[in-house]
Amino acid sequence: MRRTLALLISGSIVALGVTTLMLTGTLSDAIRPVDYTLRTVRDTGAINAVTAILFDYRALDTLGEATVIFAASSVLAFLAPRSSASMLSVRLSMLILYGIAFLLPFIMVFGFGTIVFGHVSPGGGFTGGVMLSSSVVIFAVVYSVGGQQSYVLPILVKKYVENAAMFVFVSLGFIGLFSGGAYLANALTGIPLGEPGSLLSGGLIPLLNIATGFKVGMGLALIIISLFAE
Amino acid sequence: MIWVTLALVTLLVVIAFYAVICRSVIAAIVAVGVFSFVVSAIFVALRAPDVAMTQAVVGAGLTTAFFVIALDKTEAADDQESR
Amino acid sequence: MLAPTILTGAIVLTGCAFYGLITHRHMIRLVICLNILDSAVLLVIVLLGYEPDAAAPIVRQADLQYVLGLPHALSLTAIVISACTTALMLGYAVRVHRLRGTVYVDRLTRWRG
Repeated sequence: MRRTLALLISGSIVALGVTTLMLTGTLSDAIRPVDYTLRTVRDTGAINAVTAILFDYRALDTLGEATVIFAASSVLAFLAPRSSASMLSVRLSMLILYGIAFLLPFIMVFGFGTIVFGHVSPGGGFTGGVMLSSSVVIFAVVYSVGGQQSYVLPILVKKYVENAAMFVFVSLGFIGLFSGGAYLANALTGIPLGEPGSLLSGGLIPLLNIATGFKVGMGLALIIISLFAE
Repeated sequence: MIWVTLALVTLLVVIAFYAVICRSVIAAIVAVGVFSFVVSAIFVALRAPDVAMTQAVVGAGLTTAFFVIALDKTEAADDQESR
Repeated sequence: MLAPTILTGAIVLTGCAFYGLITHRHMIRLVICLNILDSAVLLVIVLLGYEPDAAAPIVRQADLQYVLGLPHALSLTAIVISACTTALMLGYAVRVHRLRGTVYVDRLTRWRG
């Protein structure tokens, strides 16, 4: 009964969608994006247009997203009572222990590199931050011996790093406000943009990248450790 | 190029179908991890390298870890109907 | 030809996800289906900026045609947010299992004293 109903509903969704697709024609002919990517380089000095949009044009949205991660980690920490912490009930072999010990520095270096080079190559604060948090999580899973939790950083230090990164992000925004522009303004404030394509370019964008990377990394690490301790 | 994308989309649909209809939960979790990898490959075909990197790291790495942890915590379910 | 293929794929994925959302009762499987739905929406959003014979939006030469970068930025935000909401949903599922002893949605309606 339930399966028939589900088949009916999802089948009608697929039929409706395909019919709409056939009636309206292909999408690729209808859309001709205006090429503003070159203008992005002139405005911000960052050659990666996605990072320029995330950390310059729509930087306030990024601040909101960081707030969402903060709220999620707070709710999960609220859900999990700290007293009854228990790790996964899995015993790992020697091969995994030494393999992870070999891989972990590379993961961390790749994460930091993704954060720092976010405005000249694919990547950015979010991707690199998630890589950092995954390295923290791998450490917590693999090296928790006999129910004893072991972390790269203590939980309290993670919280302080997260809050400090949030504070740095918010206070970097006031630079634009004090120099006569909008909040989180970049090029209007007279910050030198540098040579596009070099590491020191893009004004505030690398600094915001680093702040967001630490924020996202520590926030997601706190989320997953709260899930562990749940 | 179009054939590669066509094959990737077909693979995507097959994996999603398997993740929806398979019986064990852990198989569905692993299928969703593979699903995220195929989605990130399609993002590369759409010239979106940033999104592809993020999808690969988040979808295949972090979310799978979330699911495995949650399954491990809820494994002692009331009875072993479809574990 | 690439756009209709991916759009059809996204529509079929939506159908799959709705089928799973209706038939399953295990909470973790419901979260899996929501993840599949999320990926289908992301495919459509990224497809909106696609143009044939254009390069990725990282400007190395001035005289190239580039793909629209705005949908990439939006979907990047959506991916990280969806990881957060997934963690939140799973945390609630674990909490419900701790309190009520079950992860099946239909058994939650029964009263357990």
